[in-house]
Amino acid sequence: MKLALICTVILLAVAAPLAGLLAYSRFRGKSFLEALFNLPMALPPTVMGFYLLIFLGPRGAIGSLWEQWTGAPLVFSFLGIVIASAVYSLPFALMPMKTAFQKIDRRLLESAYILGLTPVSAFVRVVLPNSINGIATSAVLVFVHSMGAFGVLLMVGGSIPGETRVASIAIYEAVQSLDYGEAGRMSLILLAISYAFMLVMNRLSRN
Amino acid sequence: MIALDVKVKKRRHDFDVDVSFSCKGGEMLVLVGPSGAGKTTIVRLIAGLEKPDDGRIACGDEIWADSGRGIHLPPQKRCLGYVFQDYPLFPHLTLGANAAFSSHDGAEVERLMKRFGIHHLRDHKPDRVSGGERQRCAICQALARVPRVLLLDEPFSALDVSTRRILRDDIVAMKGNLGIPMIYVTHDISEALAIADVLVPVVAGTVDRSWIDSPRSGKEPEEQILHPKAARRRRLSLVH
Repeated sequence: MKLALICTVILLAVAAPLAGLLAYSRFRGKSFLEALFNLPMALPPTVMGFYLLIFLGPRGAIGSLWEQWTGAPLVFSFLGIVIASAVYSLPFALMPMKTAFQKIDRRLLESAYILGLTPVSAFVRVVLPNSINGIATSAVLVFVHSMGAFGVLLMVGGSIPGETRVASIAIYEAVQSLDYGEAGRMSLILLAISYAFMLVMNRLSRN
Repeated sequence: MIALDVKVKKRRHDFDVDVSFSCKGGEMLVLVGPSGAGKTTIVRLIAGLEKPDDGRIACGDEIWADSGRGIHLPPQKRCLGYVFQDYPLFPHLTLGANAAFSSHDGAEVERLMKRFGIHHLRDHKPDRVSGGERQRCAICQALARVPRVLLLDEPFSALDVSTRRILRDDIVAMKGNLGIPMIYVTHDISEALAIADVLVPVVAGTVDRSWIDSPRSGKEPEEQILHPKAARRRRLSLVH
């Protein structure tokens, strides 16, 4: 839950400008960049987890920099699984927001420019407030998707109690140790939360 | 009073826009012509929403666009008011917030909203009011930022006849007080004749006075920009 919440907040902040860029800008290599951002959706979670383990690991580009800076490793830490989960859920944040941004009447933006707003202020004052449904859909999808992440988090985070053991991994381990009662309780909670979020999403798409 | 000087060329997929005209402060210049003649393209070029392929646009001493010198001021720096045909007000804001969107003078916004009879609707969202009220708000929004040029692109064509006439008269009545160049786009020749100080008939991207003189036949090669009194006389001569 904590991971999903943090991941949702971070992804909304990161994905909103990225989605804006993809929705409104034209630049060389845009389709390559977009395909790269959406890659986590197509990759098997273990492949994704493997590459993240390499990049975030002590010899990886990001992991080694982090270790030099802080003295602590990035993999098998809570921060490590936050990064992994955010990368894994990025397409689910990007796509609904990009679609919502593209639906905004182009003339609203032109009118904002004529009224003196820079593209960035127009994005904040006009685009974001008129894309609330898209942003909320992104939030729900990211939250639910992060909560259900398994393979990626197991690869990057291991399963360290109190640090990187997330609900889905805990359920798997409970089943492995034949503790069906505990697995059932946790599964039921996840089922209820996921169902509630799907109801919220239905409501959002109706509006 | 400042004047707006326009001499632009813009290649379009169907024809080239190539026009030249000047509008003085306090003057209403009407671009009139059939639909799809390039009138909106001209207004968008003036607004800076499109870049001319060739030419120059100047407002007083300030050069807004000059292809020869590579100058193209973005719309943000032109300080103009632009009222679109079916004006999309910002749907998440009330009429009051829409009118005050780019103004720092709250008292002026209040005055404008009272002047255009929408002050009592200031807390309503655009989807809760009529088309005429939305358009009044759009005019308030455009005027509240104290524009140097006012562009009106078929601003009232989606409204019923009586509301259109009232709003048009309001705009004409303010012309003198505003003292800025005003460009009004319409395809309605009688509306153009009723409000224009200067009439610029545009057909297929170029100034073509024959469209006014004889819309069906197309003749008369004399001066290209027609003063409305002369145009009115010509039209009357066509009426039996």
